[in-house]
Amino acid sequence: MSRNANLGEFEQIVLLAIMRLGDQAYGVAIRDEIRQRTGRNTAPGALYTTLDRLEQKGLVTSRLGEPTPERGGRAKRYYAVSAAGAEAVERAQRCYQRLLEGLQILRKKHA
Amino acid sequence: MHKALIAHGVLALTSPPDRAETMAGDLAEEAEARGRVWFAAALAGVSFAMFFQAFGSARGRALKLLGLGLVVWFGCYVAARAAGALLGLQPFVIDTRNVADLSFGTLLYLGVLLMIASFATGLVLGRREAVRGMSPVMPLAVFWATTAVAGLCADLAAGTPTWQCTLLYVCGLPLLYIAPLLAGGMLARPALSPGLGGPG
Repeated sequence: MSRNANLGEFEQIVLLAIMRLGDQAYGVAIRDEIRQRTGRNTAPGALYTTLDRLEQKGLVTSRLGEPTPERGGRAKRYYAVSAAGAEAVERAQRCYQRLLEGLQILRKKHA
Repeated sequence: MHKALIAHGVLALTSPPDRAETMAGDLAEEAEARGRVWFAAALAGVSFAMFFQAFGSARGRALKLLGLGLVVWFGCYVAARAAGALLGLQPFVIDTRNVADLSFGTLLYLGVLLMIASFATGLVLGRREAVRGMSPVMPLAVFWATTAVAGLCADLAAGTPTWQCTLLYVCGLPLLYIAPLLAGGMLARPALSPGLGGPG
């Protein structure tokens, strides 16, 4: 199922944010990373349903951290991109690159 | 601390227990910087998103639970009315066409019966298997909430909203239908609420 999974734009953004955060990728940190890098203010509900879907597709894995007092004794769930997830992002990016090849829009914009 | 507890309790209704715990922690952590309004909005947003995700992935089962819930609720309500009539509290048939004509005692009686029927329905539904981590009482709870919103909008659109009907939609449905239903559902499934009195 994960081998040829097609990724939506937001799924790619989430996967890339998790990759950037390394072993510190949990809900709040992922939202912060997306906000800082893209300027997008992601709704928590959209993020959690996307993470859930990516995990079901086998593109991310998760593990529970230790409960902390500032979170009311609730644990963090840390996410990591699986090999299939990394491959899916790479494939999606290659598709974008191929579509952009030969187009003048980028050159005009930066001229 | 209490924000995490509230979020955990609400999210446990729409998500698997371990997910509810970590999402509640995230919301509580972020709420420290963003405040109560953000917390309430985010909690509502996450709850709706998780509900629709679970509903969308198991629509057939969720609709079956809704149908079962309505049948059980109606059965419980009729049984409670019959028991009340047998005990001589109120007649079995009460003309409720004009709510304004009913005495306070009759209204209180009907309200208590509705709460009992909803709580009993929660106890029955709560023992069923969860729908992708979502509590089995949620389809009926969302149905009642939708009914309240639709009823209020229809009343306002008609331009003749009575205070009795407005009170029923704004307070009656949440207090008499939804809250007892959720309480019954939680009581029937303590294992779904780790950190909330369940074994986790």
